[in-house]
Amino acid sequence: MNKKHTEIQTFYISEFEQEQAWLEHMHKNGWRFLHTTGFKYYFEECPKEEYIYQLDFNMDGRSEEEYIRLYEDFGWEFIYRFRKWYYFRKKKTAEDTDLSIFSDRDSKIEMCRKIISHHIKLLLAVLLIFFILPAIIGYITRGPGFLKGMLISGSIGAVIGSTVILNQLSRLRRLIKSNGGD
Amino acid sequence: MDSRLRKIYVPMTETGFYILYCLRQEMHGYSISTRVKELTGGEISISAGTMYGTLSKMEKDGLIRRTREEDKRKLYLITPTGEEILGIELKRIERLYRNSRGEKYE
Repeated sequence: MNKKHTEIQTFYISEFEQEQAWLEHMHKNGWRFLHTTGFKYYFEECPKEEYIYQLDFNMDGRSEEEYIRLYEDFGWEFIYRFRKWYYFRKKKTAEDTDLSIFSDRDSKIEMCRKIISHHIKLLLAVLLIFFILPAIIGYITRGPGFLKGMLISGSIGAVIGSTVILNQLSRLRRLIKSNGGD
Repeated sequence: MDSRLRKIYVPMTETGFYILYCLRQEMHGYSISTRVKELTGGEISISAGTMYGTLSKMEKDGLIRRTREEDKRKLYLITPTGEEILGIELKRIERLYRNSRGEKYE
């Protein structure tokens, strides 16, 4: 039985490249990535080797089997799916020059766009849950103090939630720009 | 043809062009990539994510269609709309090529 190891790490949605680099670094130090809960990462001991890790954001859940099959055809090992993020890895060899899942700018930009559009929906959901809903409840019940309290705390939640998401979206925009997109 | 499609696909990316060009024959993702490598003497290599993304987008836009499945691999083929776009693109490349050699295109 291989030794196991966990690490706590936070990567924002715009930091998938940093996350890839970190997983590569871990593998190089003898820790193979197993799965994640989004902030807790699980590893098992392995030979110290150079692997390439790639994350893909895929919203097309219908044909997951075919999607993974295509990546396997190209030599990628599917490791784990966390929400819409798919983790792949491939051993670095001298012959294989296909070291990234994206061979042109446009497809990488397209992935960033998918992340953005998905999180705009998330932003709307955050606003709805934290802000609009308490407001409606407050209005309907013409409620006493505690509903006002809910409304205030709801607004604070909405502001914090949207700030985090908007900040991430602007980082992704910058990533798109740095890849030559507009 | 839909002017929206024309706007998206003309001019086409190199990846898009080769994928559509190869799909005049029924193929799956990896075989397209191998074929493109052969055709271009290894100059153009299309990676997995780029292949998957382009195929999904072209299928959604009706340039190609899924024909059947073979061992969990999707096979695709160009559609009449795809042929039409490829035709426009081939003409454009022909013009570029002739002009680049100092010839006039008519």
